[in-house]
Amino acid sequence: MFEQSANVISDPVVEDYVAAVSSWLPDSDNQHDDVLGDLRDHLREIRLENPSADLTLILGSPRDYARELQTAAGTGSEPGAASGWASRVRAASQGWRAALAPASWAVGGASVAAVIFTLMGGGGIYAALALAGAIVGTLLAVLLWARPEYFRARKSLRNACVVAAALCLVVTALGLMFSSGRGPFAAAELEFPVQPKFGPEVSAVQVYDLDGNKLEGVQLFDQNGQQITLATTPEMGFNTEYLPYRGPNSFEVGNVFPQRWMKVNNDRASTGTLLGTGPDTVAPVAAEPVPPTGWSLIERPNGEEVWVP
Amino acid sequence: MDTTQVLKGVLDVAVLAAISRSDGYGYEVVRRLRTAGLGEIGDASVYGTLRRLFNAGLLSSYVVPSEEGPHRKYYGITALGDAQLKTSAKEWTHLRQTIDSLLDEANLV
Repeated sequence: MFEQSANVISDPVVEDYVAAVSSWLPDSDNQHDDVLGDLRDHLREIRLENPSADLTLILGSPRDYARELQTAAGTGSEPGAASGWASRVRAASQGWRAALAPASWAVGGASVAAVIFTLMGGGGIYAALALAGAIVGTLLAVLLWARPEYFRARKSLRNACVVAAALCLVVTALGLMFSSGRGPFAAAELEFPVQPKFGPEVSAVQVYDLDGNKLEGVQLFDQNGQQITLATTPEMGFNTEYLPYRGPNSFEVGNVFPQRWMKVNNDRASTGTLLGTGPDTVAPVAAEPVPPTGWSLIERPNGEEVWVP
Repeated sequence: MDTTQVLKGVLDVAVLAAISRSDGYGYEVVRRLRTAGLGEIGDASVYGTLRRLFNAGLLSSYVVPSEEGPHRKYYGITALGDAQLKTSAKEWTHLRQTIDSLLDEANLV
């Protein structure tokens, strides 16, 4: 509890109380530091006789103590009246800043890691939650560890901090699971197209039945009934137009491969041509694919012909 | 009766009297006063009074090294303080006699 060196004793409980009293004394008070120096020695004497007691329980609140001290000492103004918010906060946080010093390295390291992680394109909301949980949890843990005397007399606050630290731990764990693609909701992320990271790019997917007959016009679904999206919108050029397939309920279907697109230009010879995006060596779609039921070929005012539902 | 308010008026006399017997450091003075019967006296009131009396030249101070804890700042009464104490004692005695007389006339003492 006490750290003694050459008769200079540092007691965090005394330092906290002195700082709090100081925050309620006007900055312009004559002999401010002198008063606080004597007060520190005076409080140490009290602590020697009451080592386990909270000074607030013995002496009252720092604000009341400051008011009583000023009245008795005959120094003018109302406590805190001439003291700005900044100085009060600075003085009140003096002891806490020292207590939080060990956490500064952890928080600083986590912040740098977060910045690098974000710049590399990783993370997202789950990583941010994990980082926030880790930082807040670390701060709470350090406070509980560094200020046992303070929290011993404030059991409700201590319990609240413990619960908050535990919640931060849960948030951190969940954030790490989600950001790394694990956890109970990880399957939902499979809804997004997954591009192969290794090996050649998949340019055609063909489906055959058990007899070896190639199936056309099929849609792929996983074991959970989730549609598997294989096709992407073809690279749209100046003179191409995407023609979506429509499902039974007129919803656009995106998992038909290859995608259909139509060349659009003023060359009548090429208008109305439906081509696949796959390589020429693969012809998964009939040379003259039949548009979905209900579609028809119309001619626009500019002479272009397009398929419309 | 709010004894706290009464104490504020006579705290200077009480502190000077407590130190006049022998020098003492802050917390020791507090204990002397409480042992004497002023159990409700505030720590900050005594501490502030010591500071004020010292600044007024009624008390002197010196530091005594301690092996058990922090150095102790002892206060002792000066000649000016001793004179002030005698004057205040007379005033207090006169005030007390006046109040006693009033209470006696009211058959309350």
